Amino acid sequence: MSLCLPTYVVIDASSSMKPHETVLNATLSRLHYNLATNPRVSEFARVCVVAFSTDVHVVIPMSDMEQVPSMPEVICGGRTDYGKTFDLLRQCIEQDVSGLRAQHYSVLRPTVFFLTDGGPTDANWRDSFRKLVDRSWPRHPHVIAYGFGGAQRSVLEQVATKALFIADGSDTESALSGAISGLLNTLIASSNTGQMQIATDVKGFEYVQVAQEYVD
Amino acid sequence: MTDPELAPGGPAVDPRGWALPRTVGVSQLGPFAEPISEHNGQAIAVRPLTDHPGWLAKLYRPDMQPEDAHRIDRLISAPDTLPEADRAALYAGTCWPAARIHEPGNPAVGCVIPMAPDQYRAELRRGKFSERRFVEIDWLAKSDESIRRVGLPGPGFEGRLAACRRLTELAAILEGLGLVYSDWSFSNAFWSPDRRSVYLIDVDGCQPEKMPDLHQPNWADPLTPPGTDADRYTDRYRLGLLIAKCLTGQRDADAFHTVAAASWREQPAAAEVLLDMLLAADRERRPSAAQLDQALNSGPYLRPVPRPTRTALPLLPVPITVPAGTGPAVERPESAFTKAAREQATGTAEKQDSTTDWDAGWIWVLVIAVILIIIIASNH
Repeated sequence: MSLCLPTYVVIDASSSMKPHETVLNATLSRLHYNLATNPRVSEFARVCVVAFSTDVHVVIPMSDMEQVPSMPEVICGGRTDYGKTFDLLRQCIEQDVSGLRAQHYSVLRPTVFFLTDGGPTDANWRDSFRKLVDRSWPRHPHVIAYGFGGAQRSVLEQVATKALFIADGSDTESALSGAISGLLNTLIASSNTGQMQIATDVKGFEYVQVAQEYVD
Repeated sequence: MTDPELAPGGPAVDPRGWALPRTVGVSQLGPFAEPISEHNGQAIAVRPLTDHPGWLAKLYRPDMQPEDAHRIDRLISAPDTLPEADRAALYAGTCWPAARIHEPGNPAVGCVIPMAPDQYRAELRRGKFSERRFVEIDWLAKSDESIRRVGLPGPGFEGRLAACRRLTELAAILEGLGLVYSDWSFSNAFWSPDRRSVYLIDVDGCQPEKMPDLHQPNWADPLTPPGTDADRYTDRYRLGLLIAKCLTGQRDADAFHTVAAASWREQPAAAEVLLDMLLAADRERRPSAAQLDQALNSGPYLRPVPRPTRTALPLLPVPITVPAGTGPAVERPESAFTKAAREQATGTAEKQDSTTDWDAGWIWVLVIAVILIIIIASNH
């Protein structure tokens, strides 16, 4: 059975990202190119792209990115609702893991790459987050968070279960590019070994080790 | 590996043009350019040699043992024992090491290898992006349609067969030298779609008879238990897997099933050899690389009797069917973020809506007509 890493790229598309929309879309297209032209990585890391603001939307459902013709354009605007995002992620993971298992894949623990430039605007996001990473739920994902712009370190320290990257003061557009490169390098390294290998050397980011990692 | 007469410091007889002896000190090599790769496998860096265009210094981690120096020397000299045609094939199709690099206190700093020829690079295009890079043989395990999608010419069966013949030829030479490669996988060979040739890299890691099993996801030999060494039989399984995938353009269980159902008229024995390499219950009954090479070149399969017992084919994936007109099972809100998706969806939705409105209009006309008929009839 082939190994498969369900990968969720979760992008903050709130109004604070509006000025960086063009760069965000170019960065996502670059991510698509790099995955679509690396069959080994796209075979190993099945990717779902999610954008969130006031609402949360699946931009690309879980796919072999080689099969995805192009990355749709993300339009930014609205608030930064973490709670709905975590709720939808849980639903997606439940469904996607079942789908991959039905295709006889050996499914690794899902990984969520959470990219945000702001703090949550909803008050009760923690309940949704707890349900997502609840260790009694066998499919609970790893969360690797990248914070930049107005992201709140104290919040992301609660969200990251595997690794945290905080922008070291570089501008949002450089940080976005650095975060996507870090994500891609993580997927490439993981596809080479068949297990999660986090690229910790991410340009423009400080790597913060997560003190209390969830037990698989 | 046949132990040839070693000439560690002797003059180079390398037909590829390596000008220095087969063992060189770091200081003899001149300056190194910036690394083209770092921390990959046993190497800490691979750096071009500025004074020797077309040659690279592969620098090992510092934990190499003195025995490695001897092993590398034997590898460098091994082609000397081959017939001319095999030696030419090995030099043309692999980055076979040309010299061992040493320094005081460290006999195995690294080795000198040739740079892969430029014919193995191509422009990979997708959308508005394009990049010239080495084409890994990974691409042959995709459909012609996928290959064409990135701007490469579709190989067709003939192109796949030609590349697979080159691979098995190289594998047979290695096996004939008594070497274990272990690292047969998508990432260790380049493919030239134009010339239909392949180029094997990382061959300096080859070891005689057995070596630590290099784990690569999706390449695990089911009959080489974790923690045990890889040997020629492990290599045969991985080679069979690579050829099955590249010949069929499929991955996973699909490749096995396609081989099992194949009727390659010009290579009548190839499927049987591949199935024995992949499924023989006794790993030592796996046919050799030379047998596969012969079968791919339209030769017979001289299989010892009794035939090896085979394990079952792996299960095929269950196709996921989404009923027409329905979305994913998870209710995912209509995307306001995705322009392309939204435009497509809007077009479809508008069509559906207008059709529904049209049908509803006819129903109302019919209902009103029936009511009118009843009223008229009751007034009479």
